[in-house]
Amino acid sequence: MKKVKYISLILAVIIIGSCHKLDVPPLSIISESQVFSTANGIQAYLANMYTFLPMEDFVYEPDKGFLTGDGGRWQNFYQMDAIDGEMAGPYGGVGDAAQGFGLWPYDRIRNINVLLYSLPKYASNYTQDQVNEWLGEAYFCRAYTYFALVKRYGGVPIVRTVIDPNATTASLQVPRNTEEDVYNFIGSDLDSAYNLMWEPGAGGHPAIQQGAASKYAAMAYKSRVMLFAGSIAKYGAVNYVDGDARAKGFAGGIPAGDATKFFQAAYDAAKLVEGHFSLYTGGYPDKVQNYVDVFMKPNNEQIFIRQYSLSDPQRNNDNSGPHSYDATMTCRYMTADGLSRTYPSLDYVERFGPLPIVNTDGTPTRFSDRADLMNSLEPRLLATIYFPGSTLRGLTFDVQRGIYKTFNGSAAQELSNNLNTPNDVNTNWPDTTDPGKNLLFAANSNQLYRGRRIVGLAGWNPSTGDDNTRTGLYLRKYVDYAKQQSACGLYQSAQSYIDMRYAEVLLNRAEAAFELGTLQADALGDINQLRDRAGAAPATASMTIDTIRNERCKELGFEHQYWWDIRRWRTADQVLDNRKIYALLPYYIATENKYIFLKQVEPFQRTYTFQKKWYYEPLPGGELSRNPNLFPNNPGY
Amino acid sequence: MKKKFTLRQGGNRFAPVLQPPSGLIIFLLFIISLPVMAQRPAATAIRSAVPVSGRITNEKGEPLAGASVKVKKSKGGRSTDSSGRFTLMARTGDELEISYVGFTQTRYIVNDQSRGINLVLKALPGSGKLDDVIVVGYGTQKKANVLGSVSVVKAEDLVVTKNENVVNMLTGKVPGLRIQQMSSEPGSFNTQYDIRGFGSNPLGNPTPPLIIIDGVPRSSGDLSRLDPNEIDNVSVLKDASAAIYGVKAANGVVLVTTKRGGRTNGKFNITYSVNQSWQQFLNVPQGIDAAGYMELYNEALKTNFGTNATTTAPPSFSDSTIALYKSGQLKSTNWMKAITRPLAPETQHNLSMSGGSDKVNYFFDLGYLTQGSLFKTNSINYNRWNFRSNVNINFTKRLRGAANISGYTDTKNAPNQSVWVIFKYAENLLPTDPIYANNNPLYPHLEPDNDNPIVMTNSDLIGQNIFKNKNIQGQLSLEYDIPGIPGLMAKGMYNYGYNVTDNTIVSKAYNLYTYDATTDTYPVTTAHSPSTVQRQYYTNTNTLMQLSLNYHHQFGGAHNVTALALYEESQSSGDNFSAQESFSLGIPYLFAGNAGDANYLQVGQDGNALVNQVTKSYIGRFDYDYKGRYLAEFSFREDASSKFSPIARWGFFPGGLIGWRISNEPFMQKLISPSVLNNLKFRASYGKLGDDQFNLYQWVSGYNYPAPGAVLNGSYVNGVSSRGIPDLGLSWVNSKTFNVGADFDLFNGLIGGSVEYFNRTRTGLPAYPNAQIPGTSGLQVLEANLNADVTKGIEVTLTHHQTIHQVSYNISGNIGFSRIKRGFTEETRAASAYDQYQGLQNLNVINGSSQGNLQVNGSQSGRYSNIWWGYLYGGQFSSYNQIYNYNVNTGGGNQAVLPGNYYYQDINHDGVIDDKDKVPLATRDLPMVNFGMTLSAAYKNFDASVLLQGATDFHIQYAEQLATPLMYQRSALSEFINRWHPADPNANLFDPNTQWVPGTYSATGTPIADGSKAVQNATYMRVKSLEIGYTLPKKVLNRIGIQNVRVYVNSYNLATITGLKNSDPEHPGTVATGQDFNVSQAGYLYPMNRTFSCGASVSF
Repeated sequence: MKKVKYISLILAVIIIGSCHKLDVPPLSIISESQVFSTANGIQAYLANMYTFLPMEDFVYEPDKGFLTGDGGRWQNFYQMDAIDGEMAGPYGGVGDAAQGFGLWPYDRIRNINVLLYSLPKYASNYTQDQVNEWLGEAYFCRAYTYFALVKRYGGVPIVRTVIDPNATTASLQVPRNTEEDVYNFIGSDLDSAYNLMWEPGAGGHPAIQQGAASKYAAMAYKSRVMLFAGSIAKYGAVNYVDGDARAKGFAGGIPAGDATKFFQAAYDAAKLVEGHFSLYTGGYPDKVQNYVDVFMKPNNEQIFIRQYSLSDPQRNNDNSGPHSYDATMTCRYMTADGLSRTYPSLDYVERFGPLPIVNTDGTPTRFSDRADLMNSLEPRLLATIYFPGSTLRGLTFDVQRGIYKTFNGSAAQELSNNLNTPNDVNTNWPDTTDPGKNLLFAANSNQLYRGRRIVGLAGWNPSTGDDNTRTGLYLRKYVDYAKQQSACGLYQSAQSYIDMRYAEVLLNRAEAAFELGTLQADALGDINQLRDRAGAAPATASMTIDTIRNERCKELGFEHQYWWDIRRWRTADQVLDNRKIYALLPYYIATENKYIFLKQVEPFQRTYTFQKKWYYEPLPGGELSRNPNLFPNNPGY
Repeated sequence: MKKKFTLRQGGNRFAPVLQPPSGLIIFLLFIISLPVMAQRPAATAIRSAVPVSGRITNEKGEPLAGASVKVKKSKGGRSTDSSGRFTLMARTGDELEISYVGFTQTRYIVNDQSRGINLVLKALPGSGKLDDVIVVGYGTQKKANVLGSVSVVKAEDLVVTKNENVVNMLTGKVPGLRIQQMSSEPGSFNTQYDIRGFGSNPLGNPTPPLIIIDGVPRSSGDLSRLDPNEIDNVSVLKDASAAIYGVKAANGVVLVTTKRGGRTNGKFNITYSVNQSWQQFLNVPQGIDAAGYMELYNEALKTNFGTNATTTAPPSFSDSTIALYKSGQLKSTNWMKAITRPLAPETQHNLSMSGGSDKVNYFFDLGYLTQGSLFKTNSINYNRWNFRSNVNINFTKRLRGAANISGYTDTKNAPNQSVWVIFKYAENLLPTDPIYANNNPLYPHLEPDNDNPIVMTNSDLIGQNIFKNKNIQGQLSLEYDIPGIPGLMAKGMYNYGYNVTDNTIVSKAYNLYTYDATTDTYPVTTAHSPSTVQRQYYTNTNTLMQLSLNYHHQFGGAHNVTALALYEESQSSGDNFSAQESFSLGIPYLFAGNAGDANYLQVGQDGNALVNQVTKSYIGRFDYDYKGRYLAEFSFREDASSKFSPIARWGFFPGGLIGWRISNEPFMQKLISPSVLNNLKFRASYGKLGDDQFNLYQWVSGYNYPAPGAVLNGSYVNGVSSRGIPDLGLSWVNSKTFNVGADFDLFNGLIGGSVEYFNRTRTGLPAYPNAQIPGTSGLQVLEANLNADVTKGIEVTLTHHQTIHQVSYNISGNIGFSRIKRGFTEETRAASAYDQYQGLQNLNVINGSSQGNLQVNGSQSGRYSNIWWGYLYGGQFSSYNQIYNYNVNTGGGNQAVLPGNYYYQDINHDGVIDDKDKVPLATRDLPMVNFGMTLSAAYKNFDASVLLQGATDFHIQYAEQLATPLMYQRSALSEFINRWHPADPNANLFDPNTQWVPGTYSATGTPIADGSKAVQNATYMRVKSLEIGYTLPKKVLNRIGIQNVRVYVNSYNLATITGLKNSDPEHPGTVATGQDFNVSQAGYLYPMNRTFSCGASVSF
């Protein structure tokens, strides 16, 4: 029996040890008070808020939305400048994305409202400055999120409070506010943000935190929003699709008389930023390199940016993981991985004026070297676009469409005779030496004609499809020239996305000033600051609104602004009316040992057309079915 | 003693728990009762009668539980307990009668030395199966008395199939167990299975049933990794008999019992066995050769208008170039052949020792497995060691103990690239591309996406992933026959399990080259950069404690009563971390990383794998039978888990089973002789079960940390995210299962079988209840118990046993069918009546954006869940005239339609083929009908067995490269050469005078097969295993001290009959909309294998 007791004792120890409570808290969940009682907790709350701001950054796709995590996030070439023809890209046309993707980020708005509501309860843990700063950032984020909604849908429901989950369904069905109400609401949130946030670097406060908002970011943003509202008030009155939603002020219908109010607000906001940010000049004599570095080096032009990290532990869930810009925006042979799909259009280049590729007699200009074309171009343009023959990472952009054995006659004649159907001119290889053929193409860059490649390493030829440039051009803006080839793989780029920079504030200010009609001199000054930095000739007092708009398109090209600009100017339906976009394709003339450039329709011949109803996106269908107070839907849907 | 000490330390880890919970109180009662009861022996003895005890076994030495033992001519008597023991009072000279269904009655005369009587009952011929003791939840039952739907696979039937995965060895042997081996990739154990479709998941892998190994819940991976030689038997509980496992049992239970030593009077038995296999790979896709590729490419160009409506491109490859390849002057690249080999080895060794005496018996087992892959480099390979020691000790007559220690350690090596990527590129790279630049083996050629298969299968170049698991289980149990109350036994069991997963992921940068003929140089591209090493470390600890009282008694010689009361408590905890660093000096260790390279330095922890969970359960069972005719069983389980909120934590899961063994009725025996109708039993069961594998901790409000964050001032700041509105009521899924069945045995085993019908209803399937709540509320609605479904099916098993002269043979066949229908389903309104008909609903509306809605056909209330929708195939156009006269628009006004193109039926007769013509085509997911048949025979020293296995109501569709030639502008598989094409390769395809050569596929570049043309019937039957063995004559062997030698040859997946072409039916293509990519990986999973094995086992 002793044995029994002995064994029982052992068993007892085992079992007492294994007795457990059922109330085991989960290990990765923390309480509200843990979050709001410490500065680190608030910082974490804000970090989550910033990562989900609806920022149209590198990985934003206009038909899919704000991508997080891995998945399609590497496909930077699905960028939105490809839907409006600023680039020739993977979209079939404007319609792919014009009706949006059902953005409805009220869960994020709720998170922001929770902070605005809950933080004051814990205010005793902090200084008043700290509390104000955080509340200010929350107001900024709320305004930011609402602008993403209002510019797509027009008026949307304004939710300022944390909605009680137990409320009746009817009271959860928040009705639509008018478009003007939403703009006013955003304006007042941004004013709150400005008033609450501290002066960076002053009075013992830290300098601006990169990636977070400052009080001047709020004003910079306000200049963007108010300019948008002013443009709609002014131009929405003359170019619209009518419907119930317009009559009720939900989509369009802001009185034209309110345009001045909004333009003035835009101007005033932009003016407040002055002196706190400046155009980056870096001290370079080389204006090209200086302009390139606006996007590559941290500098005082950048007002609000999104930063990325290669070591982001949450990269599968958030918006801070690395992107693939370098792997997907240049030639495959300059990168370690990835592939490209989208290329600047010649149309963008021609905003700077026509290129010197045709002589006065109509014959194509001969160049000994493809790169010679760049000699006469504006530094800002060269900093934005890689032209054929330019170099990156020690490698040349070897763009060549084909070889002419001989070339006689004019460019126009050649284009109408032979090159009007580019898919048609695909030559058999190795039959390219066929004496009967004058214009040689090849299916790949290994094919030689007299020891020389028929198509360049960077194409274009049909067998590589979209992998090589369709327009003869590659984008330079934001491409990290300092990165080695082997480091240009997918998910290996971490350059910041600049959401707002001072150049835009100047352009907002110039446009608002000009639209106000009373501040033309101010507008001219703003434009010439930009032109000086760009290495361009100054504008004169005879400039028009189109001068300002074109300056904006040049300066902010490929920064995801053009799409929204032509919408707010209500010109999209005219600019994109059955439009084809153009390519700049180099050819080698064997008998002359020279190059020519032909301005051709880009080889896929995509057509861009914008329907008027697309000035507003349709409200998400699922939301309409859950909330009858959202009706009427926008005109045309 | 050492082992006990170890366990005690293990217990001490948890000592700081302060409040003594209910388990402790029960235990205290338990230990108090032990000595009290122990002091009461013999106090109630009848004068002149003495206690006589003994043990009843069958001829194999296995205990017979429930055998009746009584003194002749007396009333009452005793039944043996679960270990075959009995004790009763008898006088010297009394005659004991021992009887047991299916056995000859045996008599024994009590004498002075009658202590520890051991009696062996001989089985009646032919009734062998009925007396089998089979393992059920928390105990054993005689097969004749089993009332639930329980299927058993015994060791000898299991090992007939030779495979590295125990689950694959069960294929075809258990009715209702649906098993689909997805690939034979070493170490991936990629086999899907569920019981009766209960785990079915249209979007991903099915949820496997609850796995219990020696009484302990284990993972499906642990089952796969068992050494089959350790296994004594496998029981599969499919109905309310699983209710005793409560909240985890809704998908059924697989109970595995390992071997124990027999009583061999001190002799021991050593068995060594070896199995050497050669794996041959089934249906490895082959790329087309260069000439074929060029022909297809040129044809595709002819159909490609691009955006140009009038002309198409001329051919890219000239006849002269194609001729260069056809004549052999230029060689095509065979990418698949470059990386694969036809045969790969696989070896298993096993050494076991067993033996026993009155006091102790033991079973030791050591197993080793190594499996190679089909890659020439063998860069995927797997090896595993298994160990087990099961020891039983009889301390005293009343006190018994058992200590089981088991474990495994395994390693899977793989190159640092996913298998599907390797196969994808081996299938689609151009045969005109060289493997090496300028055919110089020093320079692997640059291929699209840097994916050159020769590099991807070479771990030295691309880096190696090493996945290691170590698992150890220690179990101690004690049984004590409580004196004074015959048949009452107390039992305690404690199990400690520890698992470590230790992975090393090395990713190396490598160089790829092109050849520039103009300069004779090799321009280099560095890919996969930078080189990084990552270590991942996961540990899991599980403890399980069970305390029980068992009672078994026969009253009045007719009323058999068995009862069980059990308390169970388990705790599991998990921890992990990972670290990553880049390295450049060639040593893939963290310490040798690039100092200060913050870009790639990562230290992480998976918050979801940080686990601390506790469950507590009260379990009871009561069995009653009257003379083996009327049988009833009731069980319950009261389960609580820390996963659920205090208000929704405890769940009660009762089960009831009844049976009528009509063959034991006197009237029946008069009607039909018992020698003809050995057994006929009707049974029914009903029970409630649960499933708690859904979202954890939804009842806890607060914030997740870490959550998505942002980079601020250049460094990453972890975020917190609100968990939304907690749902205190969220609970497990409730499952109610009903089963009726009948078992019969005729002519002493000549014919036997069973028939079952089941119906399972689930309620409370989690879904987002936000179909009505407007998004403006911003509420991150959590899941609630909303949806429901019903699964119904039938199963039939038939057996036949016969001995003719010296040949004895068995045939056993089974077939199972099951189908799931949705009950209530939370859904948004259908957009149109047609969507309503198609059942196209938004399954879950993701908050914040209307994007991400998943539309799956049949995701609607009242629909079968596995319907595959699509177009109904009409045929292939055979001539231009047929196209011109075809009055249905198949798209583009039939302008681009060519002879050989597929057309589909215009179901709604609107002249256009569009979505509205889609109809239900087939069933998706795992097969609805599964069947298996085992044939075995023995003649003298020879034995043979064949397992036929198959499935029907089973459909697949090919994806990507298996469906589309020249996908992604790359190459095609060789079968696509069999296509419609013009007799003259330079003919204009749109010229009505062009002559066509018919083929299986439509012209290259035209639409690929869709609808019922693409969805194929994957019905198959295969010779899953075939074994022929020979046992050497014993006379010779015994002289040299060898007991037994058996040699055999065996094959796995020897032959397959199926209508499916170009793929193995089990190897998945794509399954309809919405399925997780990883289930089929677009058809690029590692192929299936066929093995040929030979082996031997030697016993000493």
